[in-house]
Amino acid sequence: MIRIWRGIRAGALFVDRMVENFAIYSLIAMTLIVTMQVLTRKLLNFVFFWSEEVTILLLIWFAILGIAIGFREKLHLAMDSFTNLFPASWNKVLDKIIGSCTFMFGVYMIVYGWDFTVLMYPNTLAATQWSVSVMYIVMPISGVLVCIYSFLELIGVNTVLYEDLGEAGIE
Amino acid sequence: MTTTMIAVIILSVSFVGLILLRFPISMVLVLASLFTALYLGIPLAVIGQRMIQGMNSYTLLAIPFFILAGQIMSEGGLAVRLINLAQLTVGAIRGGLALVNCVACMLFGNISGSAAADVASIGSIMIPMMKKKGYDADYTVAVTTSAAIQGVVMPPSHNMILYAVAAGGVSISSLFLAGIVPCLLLLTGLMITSYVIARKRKYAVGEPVVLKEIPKIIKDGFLSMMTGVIILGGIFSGWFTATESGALACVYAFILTFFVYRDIPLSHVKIIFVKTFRTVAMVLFLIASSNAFAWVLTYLKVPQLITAGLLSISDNVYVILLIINILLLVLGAPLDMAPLILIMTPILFPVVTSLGMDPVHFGVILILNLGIGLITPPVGTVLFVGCAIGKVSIGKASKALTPFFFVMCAVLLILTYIPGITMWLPNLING
Repeated sequence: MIRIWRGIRAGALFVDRMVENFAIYSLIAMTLIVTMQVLTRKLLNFVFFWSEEVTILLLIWFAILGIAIGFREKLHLAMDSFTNLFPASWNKVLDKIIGSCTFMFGVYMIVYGWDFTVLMYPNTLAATQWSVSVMYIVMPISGVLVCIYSFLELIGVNTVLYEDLGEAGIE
Repeated sequence: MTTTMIAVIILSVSFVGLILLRFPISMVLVLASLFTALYLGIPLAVIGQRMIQGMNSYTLLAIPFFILAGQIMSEGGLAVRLINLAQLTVGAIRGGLALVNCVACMLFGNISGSAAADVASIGSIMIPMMKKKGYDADYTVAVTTSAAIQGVVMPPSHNMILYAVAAGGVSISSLFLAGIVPCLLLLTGLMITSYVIARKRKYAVGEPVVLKEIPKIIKDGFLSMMTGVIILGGIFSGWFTATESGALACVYAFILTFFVYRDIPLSHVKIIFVKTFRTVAMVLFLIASSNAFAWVLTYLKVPQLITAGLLSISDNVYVILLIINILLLVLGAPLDMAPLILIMTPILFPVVTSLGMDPVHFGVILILNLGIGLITPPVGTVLFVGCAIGKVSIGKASKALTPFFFVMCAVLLILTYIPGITMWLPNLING
């Protein structure tokens, strides 16, 4: 039983790392593609026809996968000044309600994201001629991750991998 | 009661209720939109589609790029070099370190475009240094946190891009240009306040920089400032778009940090990317969800309802702008800046444009106003970071912040009622 549990844990961590690495490499790729676009335009007077479309596609994937990672790392901003007035036991119940709603949100992403992926399959992107589905398929994928992370939270598993990095912020 | 009114009530109640119940704001925006769509019989898939469409923007790419460039420079020892540069200008007078703090925050804001990065980077050096020289801890936190707010107004500010995206096509170049003079006005106000308090409390006169160190300080400072020059110069000259200049700034910041300054090893790059991803993930979810929320607002004609409601109170532009400023200051106290920009812009934008206000002018007012919210309790991200660095209670720091808060509000009112100050530079350059 312990072996199976360890196997599941190793598999989950592998998927986690894969998603995260994909997001980081997307960021690097976006930076390099846009830089290359400037250089070729200014120096060689042309741009690769696919550059803008691929960059936006990477941004969408990066953003939608970021939703799931954000839930895993508890990054998404929330206002707790009101609920801090409640007793701890109420907040525990509230955590479960939020976790359940997050799970339902994940289900929404899977169901409607998949619907859109299928619906958009016949349409193609202007430059690359790829199916528009590549833009939407990330939604059900991220939805599955949201469901997994929220379920783990609900059963009391801490999903945060980067405790030492603290909170993120744009301000 | 009409169907639309009931839908507006469902949207408002679910939005406020879920936010108060500590739900993540991005998810609240989606859930409130879904509940309303469910009531109105709109296919739920539309909300998801609007989220994806909200990401389908080349301009939006500038946000991860600016955040990445700022992150590289923050981690790479930039703050010390900018503080040294600021020391050259205002370091040798009474309360010199406080004034250096103000100028360094402005210079750092010119590169990071973020108040939180400002206070974390400059504050972690300046606050201990000031305390060591006999400045009171609450004063050091008050100076640093208020000065850090320059980061949200000084170009290149991520918040300005958020506003440009939420407003739907306001020129980023004009917004960046419009931020410069207000930031200098704010700097002047904060420096005068810092100086007056420093004289009153008889803080030490700063030490002048040793003559032989000056060339190196200027060279290091110049190389750091070049990131801002690449971004702003590229955009203002029309050579690059905001997105392109962001990507180039990342490449420049990377080379400068890892091959010129070499304060941190190349192995640190993974941490930089992880930190950037964490921040960007949060922001992009906010953008995606607020795009769905804004669509529902527009569908229900909420901006028109708000415009009519405000105009029924008064049709005097000064009164309306005062109401808007007070509303934003109140909302900015408990809520964070990025969600407020994305939520309030679609609501207030039609109001101010119907009154003849320039969208660029409104953008600067909105951002400065919500920036002030970053140092006001109960939720002041920048204040919290400053207090943690200075080891001062929030109550004590808030008390010390009071004069700075009033000066910032005064600057806000001046900028609101004299649009020429904000619009002078964009009008001069763009014609």
